[in-house]
Amino acid sequence: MRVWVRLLPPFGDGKTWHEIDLPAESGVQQLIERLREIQPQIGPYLRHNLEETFHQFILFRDDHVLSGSDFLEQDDRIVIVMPLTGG
Amino acid sequence: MSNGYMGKILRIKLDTREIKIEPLREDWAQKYIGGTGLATRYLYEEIDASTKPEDPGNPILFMTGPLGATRSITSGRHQIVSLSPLTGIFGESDCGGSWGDQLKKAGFDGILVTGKSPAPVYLWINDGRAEIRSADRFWGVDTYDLDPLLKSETGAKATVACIGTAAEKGALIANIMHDGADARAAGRCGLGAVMADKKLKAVVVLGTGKVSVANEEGLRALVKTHAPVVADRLKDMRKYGTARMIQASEQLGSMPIQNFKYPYRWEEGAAKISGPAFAEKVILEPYFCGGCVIGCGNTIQVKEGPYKTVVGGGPEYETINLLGANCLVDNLEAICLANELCNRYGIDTMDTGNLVAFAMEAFEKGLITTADTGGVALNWGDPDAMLETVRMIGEGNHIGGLLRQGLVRASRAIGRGAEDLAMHTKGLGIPAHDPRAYNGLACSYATSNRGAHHTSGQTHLYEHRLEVPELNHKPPGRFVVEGKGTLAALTQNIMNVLDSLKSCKFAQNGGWTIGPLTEAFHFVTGRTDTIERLIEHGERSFNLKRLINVDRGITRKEDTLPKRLLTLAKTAAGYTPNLPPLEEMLDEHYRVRGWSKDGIPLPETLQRLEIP
Repeated sequence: MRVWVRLLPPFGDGKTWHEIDLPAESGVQQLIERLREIQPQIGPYLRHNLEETFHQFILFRDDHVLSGSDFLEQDDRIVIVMPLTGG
Repeated sequence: MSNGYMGKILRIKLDTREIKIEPLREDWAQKYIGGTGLATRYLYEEIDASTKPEDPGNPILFMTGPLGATRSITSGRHQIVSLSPLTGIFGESDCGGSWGDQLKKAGFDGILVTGKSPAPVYLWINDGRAEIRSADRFWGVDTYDLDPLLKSETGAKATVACIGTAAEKGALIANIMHDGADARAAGRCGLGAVMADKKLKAVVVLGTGKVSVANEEGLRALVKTHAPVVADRLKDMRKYGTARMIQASEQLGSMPIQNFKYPYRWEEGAAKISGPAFAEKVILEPYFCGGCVIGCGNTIQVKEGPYKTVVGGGPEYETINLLGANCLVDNLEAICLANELCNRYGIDTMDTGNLVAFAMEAFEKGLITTADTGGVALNWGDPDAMLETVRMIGEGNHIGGLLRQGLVRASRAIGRGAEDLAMHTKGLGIPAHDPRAYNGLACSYATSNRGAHHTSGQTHLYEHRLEVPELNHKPPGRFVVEGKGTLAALTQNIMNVLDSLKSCKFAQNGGWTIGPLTEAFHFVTGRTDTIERLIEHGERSFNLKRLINVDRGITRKEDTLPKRLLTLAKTAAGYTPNLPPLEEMLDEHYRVRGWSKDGIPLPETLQRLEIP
């Protein structure tokens, strides 16, 4: 399965869509593990579980914020961004 | 004196120059905690249904909370409460910095000011003593310049709450600024106009006392557990400030763009005014309020160019969005300068941003012309037009003289459909979280006692991402409708608790939620109120504010949102074209609150909450 990921600053340049291959029926956890390998700059933002990691960044599919239990689909376009924490 | 409280209220009558120290009403502190709750209870006692914001008898209250000046984290805040000259109803604003802590250390839980001085004065409060001093020579001085002047004649370590020049000249969107160029603002509801009306230029405090804590060891252990977690979960706020949320807001469809009417995505613009862009260009260091472990404020400087600023507090998320995206301005440096101008004039950046966008749209539609603006073309996206409008508002020149009276008065005066361009609820400009992106927030804005304000409920966080295990709360999703009237009521009640304890709402995102706060309250005061009891205290405050508003004609009709936000869906690619079904949520909200269908608290509700 192929998905596309764009990492907004400070996680990436905010412009490039990275093509990422994942096993079929992968979810958010698998995507983040793959990103750890190919985008090592996100390493310092990863925590011991997804719940904690989501305090550092969140993943959007359109305007939907993905949870740790969400599955991905072929050609999903995912944007990674710092979370909203109030205002 | 009870633990957590100083046990004293400073009562000032400016017309007679009377200064009185009276004991804190501990029976009220039991039911209203402190901060917003306690200040509202005092306000309610001081006014009747006929009291107008401009009346000498309308008090302005500065109130701390029981957690302030203790080791409880993020609690160095205070609340300012009065009848609002901007909206004509209940008004309040919350402020960080260190002023609240200083007031407690000076020996007071709060200050209640009534009357009007015939000449400009300031209050000097120093370790249990209070003085009314002449401020003749300070009238006409802006907030940044005033701070060192007042410190030079009081104390270098004193902290200053003051009004700027806009309030002196009758601006109804005037705020109360704190800490000089560090610029902590009690921005909303035009409370600076109340001070100006009383000729009260500033309140300067300095204290060295300590707050008695019932169980210091328990509090220390609680903080030791939670502080590192809060600091880690929000660590990027230290680097990027509240601007770190800008791009998430755009992704969520909650960013206010072009007076809430922009039909496209604004990703490139958002990137230019995002946290990382601020960090790269202007942020010098983080700023911490009293007791803070987050450091979401920041000190900035635009060092050169046409938008050069001094070293001072940088614009926050709301300011950046409303003076930036909402005006289609993506020039970060211009937003920084606009922020400094607003702070110096002492005007609310949120209402100012709404007003500039309103003026730009009115200009686009030909409702105002260059004849009204001193020749300035108020074109969308023009940073200089945005800045000139801010200056007009600050100085009261040209159309600024009208705009500074707020969205309701300005739009009515312009007429010809201008009312439809004014994005407000109950006269208060809409914050930078679009309610079309969160149904619960829509209900929360509509029913907020001070008019639309995001921190009055923080409902968007609870429906979008915040889990609160101690309440078994999991976010239901932004576009769910059922249960949102209930959630809005619950979160408003909880925020009334936080605003009464005086704890920062950002810290909730790090886990410093109502559960640990209840423990902190217990350790500080020795009181054994459960979470449910504390939330009931919050509910009591909320209902008392509603009663004050009902006395001023507020009913269901005013619990609404601008037509645009109820009828114009956001249809840009990737956005859910949601329109909040407000009436349905209001029905549920009123039912849960124990209000009539018209939004009036029922007698049995008031009886249950022991509201007089």
